[in-house]
Amino acid sequence: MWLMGDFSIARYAVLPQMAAFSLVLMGFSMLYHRHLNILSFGADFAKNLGVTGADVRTIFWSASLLAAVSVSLAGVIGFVGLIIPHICRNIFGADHLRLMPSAALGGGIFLTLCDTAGRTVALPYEIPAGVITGFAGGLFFLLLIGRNSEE
Amino acid sequence: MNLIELRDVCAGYPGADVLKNISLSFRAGEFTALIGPNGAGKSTLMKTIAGNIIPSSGAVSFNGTPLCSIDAAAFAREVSVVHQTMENIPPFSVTEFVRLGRFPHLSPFTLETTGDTGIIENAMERAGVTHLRNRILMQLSGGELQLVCIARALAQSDRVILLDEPISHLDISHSVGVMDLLHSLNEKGTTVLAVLHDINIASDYCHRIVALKNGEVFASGTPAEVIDYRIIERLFDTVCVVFENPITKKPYTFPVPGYMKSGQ
Repeated sequence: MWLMGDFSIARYAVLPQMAAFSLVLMGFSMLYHRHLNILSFGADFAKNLGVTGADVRTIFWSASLLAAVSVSLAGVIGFVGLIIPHICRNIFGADHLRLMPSAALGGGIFLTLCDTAGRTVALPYEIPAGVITGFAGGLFFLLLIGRNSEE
Repeated sequence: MNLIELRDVCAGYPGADVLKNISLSFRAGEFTALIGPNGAGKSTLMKTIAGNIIPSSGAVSFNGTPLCSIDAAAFAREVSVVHQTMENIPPFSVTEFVRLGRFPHLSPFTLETTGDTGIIENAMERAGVTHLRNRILMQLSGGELQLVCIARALAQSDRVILLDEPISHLDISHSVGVMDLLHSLNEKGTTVLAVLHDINIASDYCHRIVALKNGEVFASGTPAEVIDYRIIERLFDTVCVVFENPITKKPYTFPVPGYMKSGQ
């Protein structure tokens, strides 16, 4: 059932746990915004500024847990993590202090739109949000390829 | 005491050592150039001193302590590095990039203080890049980017700076600009170690020249000692002539074109 994740499980009852996990882990990840900024310049650069392998492992743990919390509730919904940070980087710049919260909110907005589209375009049937994001993701990458080959 | 010391260092890439039994030392306050033919191991030596390459045998020590037992952040607070290229250049502004230099001085739980901001401003001023502060890195020219990289290094540490070919793709005015900056930093106490391709620039600016060939130290000493045609010719396997630079009184060298040798 790839790309078939949806919000059918969404209830106010799961909101507190979900929000608590996400906010704590997001806050923790935000502490590492400088590490991520430095790592985006490459491994040698990061090493010379004192970023260690242990730092990188901590970042991976935190990111994996955040993904796990989301997947455990909504299932597999692809492409959001590829499209949204890319767009946010172009709008808000590459500094992770701004990029991380904007990507998190942007991802939420994008998914809400996709879910709404999935519930309305093929009435009375419902298309899972994951299918819509997959479709959007495909289009987005075709657009990127088109733009890169122009340059 | 020597600031940086290498003892019998062999290092390189997995399975192939580029450096063979290098023993060298660098004193605090020195301005040293690493010269030598392509593939001699200059960049490898610099990366070994910077901690990017771990020696397969031998030891590098900094202030008498082996590099492998120094905390990464503590080392980064002392030694800053400007590589020849960066693997990736994300769309950061110049100020955002220079600020990264403060990283080893901060913990994840601390914010930049006014002291940090002052150091960042001062670093940009010294490198002469204040007017570029809001420009995006990718939009800078090669010469501007190099100065910005040095400003970033200064924000990290102005005690020791290692540079890999800082002027190799710059025109003469930008080359002299970068070298003048390094010279003025050195006069105020910064230890500078730079890989240089231009022997004459090395001669004019550096206290000491270390020449590498085939992964070994071929010659080491003052410009007057190393830039001798007998050494330079064997170092590069090229016929060279050495004169005195009439302005700096330092030796200066140029290669003799092949057509002059055959058509006597």
